[in-house]
Amino acid sequence: MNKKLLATLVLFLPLVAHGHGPTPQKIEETIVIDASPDAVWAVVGKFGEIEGWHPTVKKSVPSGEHEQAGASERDLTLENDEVVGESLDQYEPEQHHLAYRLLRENLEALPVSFYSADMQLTATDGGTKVSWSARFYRGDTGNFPPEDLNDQAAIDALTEFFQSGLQGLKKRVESDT
Amino acid sequence: MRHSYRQAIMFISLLLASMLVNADELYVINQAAATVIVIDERTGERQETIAVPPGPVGLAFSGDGSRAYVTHPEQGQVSVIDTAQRQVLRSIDVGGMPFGIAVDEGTHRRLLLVTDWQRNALVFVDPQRGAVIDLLATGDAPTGIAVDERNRRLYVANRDSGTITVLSADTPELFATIEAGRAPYALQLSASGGRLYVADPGGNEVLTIDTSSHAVSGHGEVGHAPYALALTPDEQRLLVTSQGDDMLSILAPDRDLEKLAGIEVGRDPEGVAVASNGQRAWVANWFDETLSLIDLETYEELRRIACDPGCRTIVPVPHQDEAGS
Repeated sequence: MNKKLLATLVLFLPLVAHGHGPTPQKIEETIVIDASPDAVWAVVGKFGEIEGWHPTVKKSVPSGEHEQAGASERDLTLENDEVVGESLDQYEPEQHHLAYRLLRENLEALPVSFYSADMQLTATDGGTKVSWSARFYRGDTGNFPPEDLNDQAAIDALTEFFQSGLQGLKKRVESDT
Repeated sequence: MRHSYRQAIMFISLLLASMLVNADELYVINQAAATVIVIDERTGERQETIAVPPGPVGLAFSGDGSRAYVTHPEQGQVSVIDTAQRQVLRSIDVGGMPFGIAVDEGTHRRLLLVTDWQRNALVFVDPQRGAVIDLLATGDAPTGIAVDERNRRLYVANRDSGTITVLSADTPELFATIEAGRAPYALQLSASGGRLYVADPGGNEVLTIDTSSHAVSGHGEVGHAPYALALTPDEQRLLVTSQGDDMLSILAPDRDLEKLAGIEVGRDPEGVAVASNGQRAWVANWFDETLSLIDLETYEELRRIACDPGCRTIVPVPHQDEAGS
């Protein structure tokens, strides 16, 4: 095997060996919204319509049938015009809970190779606590990830996405009520 | 001379036996914290916290319980724990991304069998020499590994190929590649070796494989994303954790994997272990960083105790009477 081919193979390995060998990471972000859980659920429960409240989602395209959620999948176009696809795993309107996962990864959009996320609403004193959490893996799942695809890059990107989303959700729901 | 040697061996065996039978211990791996904690099964008390190299995932004991071998995918290493001293003795470089691990005590020498997620291989490690002695191809992203010491067979779950690789434990011979769900991850072999149970988080079910015919002989529906399996000592119940809906499901292996119960545990449960008396089970709740103690008579959660960040795997220390000779 010549050296050039070997180098190409070595470069290609982390992509081929696409999996979840590294340590899974987790985050949980919360916000309290001055509205009832039902009022917050009326917004976040429409799975395909995240563009209506998330400030860094330029566009969301719903697809797949789901009687209650309106859609079982969504494609999100982020600020840099890159797209990630997500699909709904669980939808529990009575518990004000939904869970979804990354369906089509796009490291240009988010430096995360896989995630599963939960959104849970709970009633607090006259308002609603929104908890948005995820389990995920870094963008490069090989053992020598570059800085922009390591654990910290994944944590930072998803944390920012959740925080800005929760701020946007609060603004949207509180201006509605 | 020979006589006294034999007496010494017998004395040590008895000592080990009494030590091990008295202590029903669980080892819990905490991947993010890089620790292994030792729990007294009866009291739920943490007896020890063993610092290990970063990112531990899989753990297997030697047959006599004196050593625990731990995989570290991100280090390309397997560390060796002395369970009497409760500390890491050394780390063996195996390369790749060592993930699942099992110990084969069925021949004259102990071997470690390690699945390598990155190189799509099963790695054979001689722990005495601390060296890789063979590497056999598997399917893509091999995770779970089960050893049938008596019938000399190895089973590897290939998560990304949707298959189980069946290999000879003694020769580099491939017996079969079995189509088994969408993303087979964890394996549990019956004591006789006749049945192999497979957790398939991709298909949200548990499969039974008849190991004599290599055919899938049963399907059991469980919750979302089943990730770990354990059998009760009488093999009448198969315990399955499902990460997606935070449940522990109890299935009946002899009744076509009929579901007997579903018990809600903490968030993102993974590892599950059964006490040697078959009366209780422990579940590692990854997201919550807790362990749930489950009563297997009433199917109720009795209590939760803290683990360290990233607890994933729970393995009971083998008793002397379970040890292969």
